[in-house]
Amino acid sequence: MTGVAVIDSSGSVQRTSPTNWLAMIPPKIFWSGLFLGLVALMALLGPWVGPDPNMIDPDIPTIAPGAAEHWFGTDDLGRDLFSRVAVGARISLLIGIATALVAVVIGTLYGIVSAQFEGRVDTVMMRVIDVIYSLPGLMIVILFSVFLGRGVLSLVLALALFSWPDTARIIRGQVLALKREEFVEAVHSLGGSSWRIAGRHFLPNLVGLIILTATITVPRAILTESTLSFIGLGVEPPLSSWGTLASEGWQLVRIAPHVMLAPALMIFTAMIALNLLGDGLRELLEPKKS
Amino acid sequence: MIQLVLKRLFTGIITLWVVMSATFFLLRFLPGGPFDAERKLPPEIQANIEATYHLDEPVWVQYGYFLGDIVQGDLGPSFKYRSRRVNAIVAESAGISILLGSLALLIGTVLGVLAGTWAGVSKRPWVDGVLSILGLSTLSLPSFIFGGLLVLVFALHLGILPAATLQTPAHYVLPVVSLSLVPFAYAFLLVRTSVKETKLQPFILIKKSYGLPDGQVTYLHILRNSFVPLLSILGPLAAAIITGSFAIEYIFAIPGMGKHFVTAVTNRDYTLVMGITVVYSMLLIGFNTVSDILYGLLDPRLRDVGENSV
Repeated sequence: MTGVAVIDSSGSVQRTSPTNWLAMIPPKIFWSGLFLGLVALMALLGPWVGPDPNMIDPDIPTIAPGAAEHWFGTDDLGRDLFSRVAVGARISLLIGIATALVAVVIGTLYGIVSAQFEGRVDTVMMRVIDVIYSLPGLMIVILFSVFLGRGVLSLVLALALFSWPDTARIIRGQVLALKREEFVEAVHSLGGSSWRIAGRHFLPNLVGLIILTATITVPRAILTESTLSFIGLGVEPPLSSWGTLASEGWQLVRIAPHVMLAPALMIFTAMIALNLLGDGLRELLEPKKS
Repeated sequence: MIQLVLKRLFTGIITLWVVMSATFFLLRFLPGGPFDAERKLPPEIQANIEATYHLDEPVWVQYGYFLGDIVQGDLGPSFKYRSRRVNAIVAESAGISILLGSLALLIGTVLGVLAGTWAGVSKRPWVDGVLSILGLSTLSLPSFIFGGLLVLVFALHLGILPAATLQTPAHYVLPVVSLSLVPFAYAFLLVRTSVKETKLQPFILIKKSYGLPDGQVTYLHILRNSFVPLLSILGPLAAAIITGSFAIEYIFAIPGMGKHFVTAVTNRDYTLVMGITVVYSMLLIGFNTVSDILYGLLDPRLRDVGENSV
């Protein structure tokens, strides 16, 4: 400690280590970010590092994990599980991130518009959200994804359709609070219109919250997608996500449980990391509550 | 008070109508009819079948038939299982799903409240730490993975509990425990936060300064204050249980509504999908309405929330 800590003239302790900025990141965000970075790296490079995920080798069915050639073992057709989980990560992460993007764009616009109008329009817009909240979510996602045709894009749209109300509510609350700030009054008295204020002054103030809501949406979308794929209503072959891999593994659970456990473990750890990341960001944005 | 109840009931009925109509039109505009997938039928028979189910008439007429039937409580014939009415299939499977769901809701919430209170009031930091890790893990664990793990450990590995179907009370243990994961996590996190906030309130300090025993303060005053927010998440919890039941009924091969819904979607059995959607929405809307009304009863400040809330 004494090596890096310096007491300046005012008596407060200052650390002068060159890695200062790293130490400023809250541990929750640091560790979850690091883990998610590794998962992303695995999704990007895994299929090239490991064996070909589609190579069928009947001589090596259901090898247990830990083998030198096959870290996660192999499935019933002798395909390498590490590579398959890495390929599955692509679809799972893609669906999670794309859903969050779509949901956050819709939710932010909806929230700002609702808060801008206040009064009757606002009441009606919030009622619509109440109605959406009172629906059995997964059921409607299933109906929509079947209606739109099975595929990654329609899954994303169906999931986003159910994810945006959270963002809308949070953004609306924040905009209502911002509208009562003094600087808004100042811009108003200088002749700025409300929509100009929304675009030029509210949006920059909302960036933190928008990132936070996006972070909360990603794990929910991944969870819902994996549940759907598990019961056979999600991603279809030849594409595979962690959910479809777990579903295939479930068929083999009596002979080779690791085929299910490998994708299951990935879903679980990624969910923990994403939830921690959201938690850390929330504490960073709302210092009073922590 | 009566005004509040009437208003909530009205909103509930409107919501139900919106859901039913949306589902109806979504399904009608789906490419391909329910009888297309099977082997090619002679055109006359095809026409006959379509006439029987009013499929040859304009969508608006079909919508009229559908609303008329629903008002009378008739969900129509199943498209797939020709000889059966949707009412019969739903009546048979709803009981199973509702029983499993309520057991899971009860067990999960009670355990969640207990753990949340413990974590909130405990003066030992490790108790809160360990329980919080547990809370985060349960929140991050999808029900289908939890269910799969339970089967793997208790049915396949240890062999002490049955792995699938519902025959004896022992068969209920694993599905109910799997389903109770989500209510446990929600109740735990909510009660923990609200107990932590409540225990610092002035009125609690006054109770303590009266010399009331710790247990009485905790269970009578702190916990009672935490029940109001708990009531507000009962609706979302019921929705989460329905969501969970799709995967859990699949894993445990339970012939409940969730399993029928998934099969019906794959079979394009429009009327059965509609029927289950209607029943689930009714359950959920009813649940939300009741918890809204109870909420108003418990906390008079919240009775008029909605119109003038900021």
